[in-house]
Amino acid sequence: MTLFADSISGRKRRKQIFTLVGTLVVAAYILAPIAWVIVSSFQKEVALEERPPHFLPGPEILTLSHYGFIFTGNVPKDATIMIQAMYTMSGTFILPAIINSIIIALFVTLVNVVLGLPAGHAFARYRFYGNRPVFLLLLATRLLPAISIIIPMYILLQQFNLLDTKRALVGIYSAITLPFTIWILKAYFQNIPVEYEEAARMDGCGYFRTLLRVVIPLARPGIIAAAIFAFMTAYDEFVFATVLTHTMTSKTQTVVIAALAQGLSASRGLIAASAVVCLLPPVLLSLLLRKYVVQGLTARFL
Amino acid sequence: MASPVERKHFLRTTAFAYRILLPSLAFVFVFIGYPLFYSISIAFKEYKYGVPTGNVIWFKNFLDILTNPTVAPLFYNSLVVTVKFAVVSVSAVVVISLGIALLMNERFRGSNLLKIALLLPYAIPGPVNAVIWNWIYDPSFGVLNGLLFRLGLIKDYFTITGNPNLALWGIIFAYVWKFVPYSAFLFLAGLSTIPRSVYEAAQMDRAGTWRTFFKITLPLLMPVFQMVLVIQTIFALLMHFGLVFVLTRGGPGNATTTLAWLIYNESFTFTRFGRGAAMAIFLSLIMIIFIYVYLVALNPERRSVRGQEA
Repeated sequence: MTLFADSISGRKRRKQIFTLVGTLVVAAYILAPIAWVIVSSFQKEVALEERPPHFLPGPEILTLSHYGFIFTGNVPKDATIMIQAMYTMSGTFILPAIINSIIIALFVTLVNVVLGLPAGHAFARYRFYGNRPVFLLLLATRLLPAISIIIPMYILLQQFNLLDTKRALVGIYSAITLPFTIWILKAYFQNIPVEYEEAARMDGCGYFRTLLRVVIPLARPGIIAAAIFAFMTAYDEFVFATVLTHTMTSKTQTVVIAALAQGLSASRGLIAASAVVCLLPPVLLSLLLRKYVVQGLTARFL
Repeated sequence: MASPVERKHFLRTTAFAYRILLPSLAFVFVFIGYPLFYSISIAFKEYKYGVPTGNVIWFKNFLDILTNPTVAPLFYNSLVVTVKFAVVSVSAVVVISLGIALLMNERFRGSNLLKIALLLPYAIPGPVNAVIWNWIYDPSFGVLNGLLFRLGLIKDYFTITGNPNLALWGIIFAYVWKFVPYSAFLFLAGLSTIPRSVYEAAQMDRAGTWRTFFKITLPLLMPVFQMVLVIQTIFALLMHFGLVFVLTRGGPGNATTTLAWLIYNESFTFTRFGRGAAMAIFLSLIMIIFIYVYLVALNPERRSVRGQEA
């Protein structure tokens, strides 16, 4: 009897240790790359060009000059001419590019909510001819690689004089994200009892009034999840953006940072700081609204 | 069922529903559907320097890709690279994310912090992820080299992205890091639907950890498992472009030239739009085949039900 109890508690203890070690390993795996780019972004250029790197930099090699350059365009004064030359033009494009990305992503989110909400509602609530096939067809567009329609897109936008415009990207990203938004919202509506809407209709509310007064308040978490998803997808997109934009009127942060990292002469600290600045908007957004993000990730499938 | 009144109601609902759906469908048609059809017509044409010559050459672009001695080897090589990338990265993502999900499912103190940490790679934009790893892999001053050097595992700094044998692995590692959290959340959601009582029963029967995992957890998790495989395969074929673009540009040689990169290069470096479009159609076909194989191979239940019906 005691032997039995011992083996159970021994197993429990082993499990606890295993869980602890596992958590530490996973946390290190996930956090180390991010930590390293943050640490690098605060180090002076000369310190970044030393072997081995400074894992725990002391105050004498820390600097804010990389961020200073991104936000003000001032090169660090205490650096050598050689290093000052590494603060390339494209570094000053990071901030405008992020603003471009955010503007595009916000419009995409707006289109998604305004059009996707009634569409998801219609798929969930109405029995109509072609409901299922049309829905599946919409979802199937998700399987299409961006690269496989990039050529016709490039040629078509050229013909319509829409290359290098934010409008074109908003249109494309909306089309990419709408099927997903509709999917998330449809799934969400199906979990809300239809009786609320019927009651509103009974009280004389029209379609739009019911949508505004009853459906939207009830589906708020689903709408937020869908909106975050649309925003992040638009902010993240690279393939279309890199082919369809040429100047800073429409270049997004994905394009600018990829170009910056490829320039052989760019400051390493500047690249690291740019990476940090670029990842902040979606990371902050998903941390603030993490409940909805996780919900949106899993709701579509389960 | 179909009384005239009901029929009329059904038709009215249909008209109403499509009026609501019209803007969404229009968006998707204009920006996805039409370009897709248009890409077929491009694939049938001959392009020189990005301009159509006016010659319609029908299937010559497709035949070139499969048989022309200057193009076909590139295409087959890109297929091998793509499949290698997809198989390795999907397997790695599935194994690692399942492990993390099992860990988080223990609901210990701090498991919530782990969940928050997992959101970070998910939220980081693809190209930024590529930039982060590019700096980690840096052959002159990268932290990976520094770490291995400090630990005495290497004698001299070495290049990962510049080495044909290592470059693809470098891309895979960076890719896996970003896509593990997504699957981990899906697995975790799947695990949370398995009732605790099942595990308690297994414990009563003194089933070991491995036995419990293989006999209970995995079978009950099968639907989620299958879904994760399909989603991850789609992602692997779609979402590696930024990494290749920043880390290797398809090189060294053609060591990391995936099909997506080959299409990009053909179309926008060499402006051979016709050939690029034809390759893109191949890519779409591969995608469909992949997913179909998964759905059939991994769903014995559905298959047997269908078999009984037939």
